Amino acid sequence: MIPGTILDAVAWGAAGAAIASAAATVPALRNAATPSRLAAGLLAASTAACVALLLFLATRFLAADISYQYVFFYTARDVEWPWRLAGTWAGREGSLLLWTAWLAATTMGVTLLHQMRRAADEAEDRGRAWMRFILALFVALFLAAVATQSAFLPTGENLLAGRPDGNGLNPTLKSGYILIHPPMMFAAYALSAVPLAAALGHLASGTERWSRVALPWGRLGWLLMTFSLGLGALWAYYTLGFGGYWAWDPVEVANLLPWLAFTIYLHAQLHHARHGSYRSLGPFLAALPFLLTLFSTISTRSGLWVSVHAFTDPTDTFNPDAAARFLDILAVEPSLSFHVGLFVATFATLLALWCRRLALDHDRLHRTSRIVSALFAAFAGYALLAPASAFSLLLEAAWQITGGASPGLGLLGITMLACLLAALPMLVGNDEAEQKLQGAHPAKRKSSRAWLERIDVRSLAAYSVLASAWRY
Amino acid sequence: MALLILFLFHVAAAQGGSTARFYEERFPFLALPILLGLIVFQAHQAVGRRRSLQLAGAALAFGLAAYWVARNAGQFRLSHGLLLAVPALVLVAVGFVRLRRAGTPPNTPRNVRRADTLLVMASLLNVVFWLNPPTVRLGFWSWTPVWPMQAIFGAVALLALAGAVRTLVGVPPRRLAALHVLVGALGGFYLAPVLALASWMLRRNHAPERPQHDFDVRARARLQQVALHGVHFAIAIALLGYAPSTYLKSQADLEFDSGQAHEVAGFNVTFVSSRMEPAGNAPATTVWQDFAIRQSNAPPDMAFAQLHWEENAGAHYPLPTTMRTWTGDLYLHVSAVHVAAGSPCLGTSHPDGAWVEAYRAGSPSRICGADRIDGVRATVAHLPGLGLLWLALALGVAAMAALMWAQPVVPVSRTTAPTTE
Repeated sequence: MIPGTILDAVAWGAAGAAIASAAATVPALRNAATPSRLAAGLLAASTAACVALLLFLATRFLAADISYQYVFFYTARDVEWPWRLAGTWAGREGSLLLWTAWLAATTMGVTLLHQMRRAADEAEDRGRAWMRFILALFVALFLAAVATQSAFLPTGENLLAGRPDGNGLNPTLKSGYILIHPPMMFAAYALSAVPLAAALGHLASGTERWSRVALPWGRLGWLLMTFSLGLGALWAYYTLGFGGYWAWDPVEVANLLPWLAFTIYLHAQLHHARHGSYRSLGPFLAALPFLLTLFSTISTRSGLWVSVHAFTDPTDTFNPDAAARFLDILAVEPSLSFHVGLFVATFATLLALWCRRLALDHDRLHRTSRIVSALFAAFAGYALLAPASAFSLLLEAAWQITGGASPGLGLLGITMLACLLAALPMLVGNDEAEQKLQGAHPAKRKSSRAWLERIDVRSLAAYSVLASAWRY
Repeated sequence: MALLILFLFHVAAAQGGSTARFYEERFPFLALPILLGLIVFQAHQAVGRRRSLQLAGAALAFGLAAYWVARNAGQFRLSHGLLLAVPALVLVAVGFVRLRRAGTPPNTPRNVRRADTLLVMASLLNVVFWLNPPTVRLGFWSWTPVWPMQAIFGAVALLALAGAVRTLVGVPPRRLAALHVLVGALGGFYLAPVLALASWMLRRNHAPERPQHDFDVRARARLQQVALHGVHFAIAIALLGYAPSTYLKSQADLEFDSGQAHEVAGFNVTFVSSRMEPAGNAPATTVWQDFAIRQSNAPPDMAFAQLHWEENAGAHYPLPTTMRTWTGDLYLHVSAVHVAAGSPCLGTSHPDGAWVEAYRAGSPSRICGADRIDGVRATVAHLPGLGLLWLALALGVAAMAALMWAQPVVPVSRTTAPTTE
């Protein structure tokens, strides 16, 4: 048995290599160069280490080595080998490792593709470099989470005494679908990071062609997610026995949200490529699939909702309020903090960069957007360091705003508040009006009439609906 | 907005209430504007803006009329289903026309166009048939295709569809006659052979006019368009399949004594017997429940539901059984079994017999091999149109893959002026 500390050290080392790779990419952000050998080599080392950890875990499952606690919990010696293999991603730690491996492989794939195919121009090269930089940072974050949520802790003596052959795998998971559905879904999750990275790169640097760079990966993500959702429906139909293929189960819906976001993103990008529209909103739409995959992971893995994916019926012990339930789960499940922190931090970073980019591109709301941008950036950092506390803060704010009626309303309030904040820059996102005003006299551009022209009527309508819904 | 609505529904539904009812009652009303919008978007290039609006208006009018009629007849679920199914059907038809128009090369003779359309239709029928194949009967001979034959024939049907699409975009396979024979031989719903034959009759004098067998830029562009419309066509089919399999579903929670029969959606379902593994006084790991299912005068088919023992939870858990029929799937899910009085294990502690429920740990919990089962509680559901959903899944994935193959790079944006700080 290899001690868990050594394996965790490998994960930490891989995280370090990913950070070093991101650092080695920094010169390319300005010089628009192809991936340097150093950056690519470090990333390859990080990816290899991550994949090796995953393979090692898989071999431990195949060997039913229950001296590791994670293996003990999800397999047993009398389980057949396909289900022993499936145990690798049956729990939180293993699925995080699988997701990380896919993310690292995707980042490596992006880097190799950038090395093999030349960019159309310098702007595209800069966009590509930003994408690699952000993806490498994400890989480092995920690897750090893998190291802190170790899948390689030793099994306690009392556990082994109680079940000397291992805990076994939940029988509803013993299906051929478990060998395809979760790995494919996590591959789609990993691919959703590519449009996000491209969008963040565009917002941070102003490079164009970001959609061209990210679109093929987005399409592949859509393809895998569609197939995976379909396989999940088949699995539910033949195994779970709820009388159909789609039960509008909260976890199913949580996974439908990123699919819908992917679909919206693909349509927006096609429209952008053909007509130049969605220039302001495009980066936000590109980021949504990844944010919603984080949300669906939280939904699936936390046991937050009463769901067929929980494989138990916990209604008797559940706090009836979802927000309070969520805080309870966060208190006892530190592994979820990573996803929550990453979700809040990514969302806040996106909003910060988005406000900044709008201010820079459109010469409007300059000062206000700078302040909003700084606030979002500060909150992103806070959420990354203390996710539970950041969530509590948001919840408290939402309680105050909703009159302290109930924590459930608070949760809804947070959602609506985030949507309202996100929709704020959209309000003045009328690109067509902006394009018309580009050549106008500066005095005219700053006139009150010009401000009125900039207001996008469709966004205003959407914003009004959002605001009314939030008040309601 | 759709995303936001779905998210808010998600949060609200997860706070309590029946999620299935919460969504199912609202879904047709939410999907209706999306369907009408898609009809306009898909149709306007083929028939013009005004006609596409008229088409969407007609779909709305027919959908609402069907909804109103069914609702006044007291059929609430049916009314919701019709409100979704009618515009979805129009969208499927429009989507198919759009797909066909996008794929056909210019100046293609009318007969060839028709022939290729028929071949694609036959191939689609084959795919929908083999992804969810019912029992095939010819006189005394009957065959129920199950794994792996179903997968093999399903893959062949998908390959034949790919060949038909190639033919549509003007790059037919070298052995076109063999493709027609294959499409006909797959025999989807007994209609595919007729369509394949008609296709061959129509194009047999035109075959030499299109000798191209490799994809050039134009053919690739046409394939890309077909794939793009294919993804939308798949979503239309998914919505069409969702309507009957959800709103026209017949479901009943039934209690069977040994040998007792119940009628569900025109099917006669009889609980025949139960058997345990292992036999004897050892605790059972699997309890089988055998059902005979008969439709009208056809010979009965057998369906086998199971209750397994889950050691960790200390409870039995069920595995449902399905039987594919020509009108849809018959789905059977056992929730409890009754151990007869006097049975050797549980019968001794429960002199009047006892119900053992799935997922429930407690007393009585585990059945042993020698216990006698004399009754079951089961949910029996008939889900029509389920094959359409599997077709939509296969078509959506295949079309997106074709789209990626045919067009790896998107056109460069017109607004590519770099912005600087």
